Amino acid sequence: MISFTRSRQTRRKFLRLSHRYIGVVSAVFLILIAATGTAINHLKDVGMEDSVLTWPPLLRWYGLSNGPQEIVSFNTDSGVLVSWMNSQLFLGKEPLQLEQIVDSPLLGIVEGPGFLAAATSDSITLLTRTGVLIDRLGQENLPGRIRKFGSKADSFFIDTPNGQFRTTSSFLSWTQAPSVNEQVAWSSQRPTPAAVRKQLLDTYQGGGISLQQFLLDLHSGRILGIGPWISDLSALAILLLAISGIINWRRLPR
Amino acid sequence: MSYPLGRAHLLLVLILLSVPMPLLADEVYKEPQVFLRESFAGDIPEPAALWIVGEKKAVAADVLGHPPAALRERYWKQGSRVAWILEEVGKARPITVGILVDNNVIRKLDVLVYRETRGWEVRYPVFTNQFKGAELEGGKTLNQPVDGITGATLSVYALKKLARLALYYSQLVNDS
Amino acid sequence: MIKRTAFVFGLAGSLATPVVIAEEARNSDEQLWQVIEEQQKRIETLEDSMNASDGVQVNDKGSAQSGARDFHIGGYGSIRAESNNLDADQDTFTFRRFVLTGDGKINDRLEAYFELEFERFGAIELEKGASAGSDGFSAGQAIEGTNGSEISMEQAWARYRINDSVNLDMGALLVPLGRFNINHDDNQWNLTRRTLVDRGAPVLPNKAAWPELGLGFSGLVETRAGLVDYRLYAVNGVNLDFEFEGEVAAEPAGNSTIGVTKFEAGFAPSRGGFSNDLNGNKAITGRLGLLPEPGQEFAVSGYYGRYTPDFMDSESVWSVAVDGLHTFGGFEFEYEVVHTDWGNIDDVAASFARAAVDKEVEAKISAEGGETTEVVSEITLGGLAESRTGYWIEARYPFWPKALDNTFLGRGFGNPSLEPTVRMEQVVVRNRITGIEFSNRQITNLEKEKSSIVNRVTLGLAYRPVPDWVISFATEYTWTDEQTLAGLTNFIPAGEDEDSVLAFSTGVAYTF
Repeated sequence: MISFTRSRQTRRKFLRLSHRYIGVVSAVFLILIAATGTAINHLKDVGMEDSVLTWPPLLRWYGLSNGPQEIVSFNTDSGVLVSWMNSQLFLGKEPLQLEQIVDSPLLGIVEGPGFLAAATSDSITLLTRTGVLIDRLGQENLPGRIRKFGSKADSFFIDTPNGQFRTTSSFLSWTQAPSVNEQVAWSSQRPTPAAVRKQLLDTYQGGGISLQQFLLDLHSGRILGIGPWISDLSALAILLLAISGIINWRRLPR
Repeated sequence: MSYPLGRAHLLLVLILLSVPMPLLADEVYKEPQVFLRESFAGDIPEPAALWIVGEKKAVAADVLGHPPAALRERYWKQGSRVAWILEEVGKARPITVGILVDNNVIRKLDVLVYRETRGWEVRYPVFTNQFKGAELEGGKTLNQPVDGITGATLSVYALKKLARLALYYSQLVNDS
Repeated sequence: MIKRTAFVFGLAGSLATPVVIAEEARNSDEQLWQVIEEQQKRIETLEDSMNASDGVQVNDKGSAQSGARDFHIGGYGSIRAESNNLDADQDTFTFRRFVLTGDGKINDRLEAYFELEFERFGAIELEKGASAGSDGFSAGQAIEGTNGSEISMEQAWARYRINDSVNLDMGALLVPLGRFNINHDDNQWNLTRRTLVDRGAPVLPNKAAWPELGLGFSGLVETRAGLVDYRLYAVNGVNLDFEFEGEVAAEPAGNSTIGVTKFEAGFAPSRGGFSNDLNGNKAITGRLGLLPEPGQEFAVSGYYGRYTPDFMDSESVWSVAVDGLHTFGGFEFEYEVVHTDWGNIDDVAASFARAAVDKEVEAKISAEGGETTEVVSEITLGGLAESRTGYWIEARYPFWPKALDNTFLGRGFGNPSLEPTVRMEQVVVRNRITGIEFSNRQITNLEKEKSSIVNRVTLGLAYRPVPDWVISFATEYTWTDEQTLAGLTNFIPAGEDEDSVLAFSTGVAYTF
């Protein structure tokens, strides 16, 4: 509180010191606010307006502790995209209504005459190209845990700790295949297209945290969970700095 | 002051000690492979597949009360014996059942995996033995009565449905 | 360029903490392949660690669903429409109950279950308010609701399965006395009303559905004689607990009116508490059942525990039951016989009098103008009888005429059935306390009724479109050898001379 009963000199010193201390203390916050504010304003310019953050500690902080699991996607030769997220399979952007969940992540997908085969470490699911379930082979129908899944000509191959096995398009029985088979086209993962990822996450998970939201929360201080007080205090600090700065300037020794 | 729970505790402990403790078991009572081995005396045939489409799908849906989950059902056939591994929800969770059909008569029905939280009396031979010798009557129902168990109504119902389904599928396989 | 710089500046400043940005932000092929390789490596390391552990395969349970954590919400409800020849009863629809159940399976060996019942429940509303003004201060509370509304936690337990033959059950468990309490779901029964023995004139120490808080063991054992099914629990147990009632009345007296305010604490046997047990003593209850073959079940069960609260002398109640189900030639016969003994109730009454001092204390407050108001406090003991014995036996014949297959009754249903049902029941109550007076810690009057019998026969027809839904029609005839049925059951509002009731009812019990 500026006391007008003190001498002018003491007042000036008080103003100067308070300007310094308020400035120092609020420097960190002010930098944060300036930086986040600028970043938010220019997200679109760098094309990150749709970016989503998935860092687990951050998700836990936001209370989404189970966070979206990874999304794993595979492309078939004819361009069909099959993704796996959170025990569900998706054909393109649409979820497949399968009676049984697919616990382990997708390891590969291969296309056959009129069907798709999706393999995880302990199952192979056969689907029509429109996503209707044909059959599901569980662990008891497989010769071992699947590490890789691929095809060559009319045969389908799996690589397991017990060796490599092949089957025909009926997927009814397996025969051992020679261990090293260079010509098998093993299914490998592709990055999930942004649009698909966004759709999957938004619709079925509620996201992760959007970058924009994160920056906004940092900016306002809501990230600490106590409301926008940090931001309000910072605003107050700026106000005080401005006022004390102007007063100081006005009272510079002439 | 006496320990009021003493008597109760002692009684419980005595009962516990006197009950024989078989090895820790879980809900998988018989591996499907074991069921198949038993059904074919060790010589398991290659699996084949029955496509459930069109009219067959309609009949299966009628038996189950809902359309079957998959478009095809795998089976193992050798001579006159056909073995099926089928699944159906009791109250809330699927029950996996192995059924061996010989000349359109059920030879054996085993509960392979039971996941419900109640009604697990049905997985015991005391109950499943009732299905031995059952055939389809009028193309739709079992020709012999299967008595239920109090508190397991829906599980019993599920097993009856699967028994009828296995007999119907076996007819299709044998006819073709 | 400037925009980009501005952004980078902003981003660099704000991201003081390391944050992983979504993959599509990286726009170089190199980084794409890096991500894929990383994931591949992750899978491989996982595999290696799993293979290293004694070659035991993960998830060797036969299918991906086995062992998965899941939760299933379900429930059942039942409604009845009834018409009878009592003076007091109106023709009515009764919302018998709606029960919400939750069935959670954590893995093969851990389960949890709850059952929450809303009985006759319409609504309960609470209003509170305080106001201050020139004329003083007041704080008030009002409870509104539909009559008979009840919410009850009927089951809430966790089960730790050691193996099929030994389960550890903990929580609010159904007392395994007789076969009705442990299988009371309305949709399991063909008739529209619960039995006298278990509910209407209960022989069980507490009416079904009766849960108690405790723990114990249960399981199924396969023997050469058949399946043996047992339960043994230690629980808080039935207790003499009280209901607190308030009443306001206006009684004309000559030219003026006397206002009466009455409070009553009525003690009677009640189901055990879920927080503080009223006595330190735990009750024991158990059941042993045998299933030699499907369609034949037989069991004996029992209950024993102290029911007097700490401030009274100790007295225990014991109960024994025999029940079974037998199927012959398409007919099903199900029955239950129960006997309950409450001990020396004279001693209990005396002990109660010593504790409660005086039964009734009345005060008349007169105002100057001659108006009077009475305030009455009453403490009373009821619901006790020396012993009760009862049974019910039900005969059913499930059938389904093929001719109905293509009618609306059968279409779309895989296993419908029609079940004509007959039930016969009797309950004998011996030495029931019908009146008690005491003052100065001494009993001054104890009225007991030697013995009374209630009988009921019910004829019904149940239609089950699916095994667990039922639509039923029933005719009941209830009668007694006493002058009136009043007081002999907990649901028949009989008049002084009404010693029998004829009732027609229709009911639906459904589940999901």
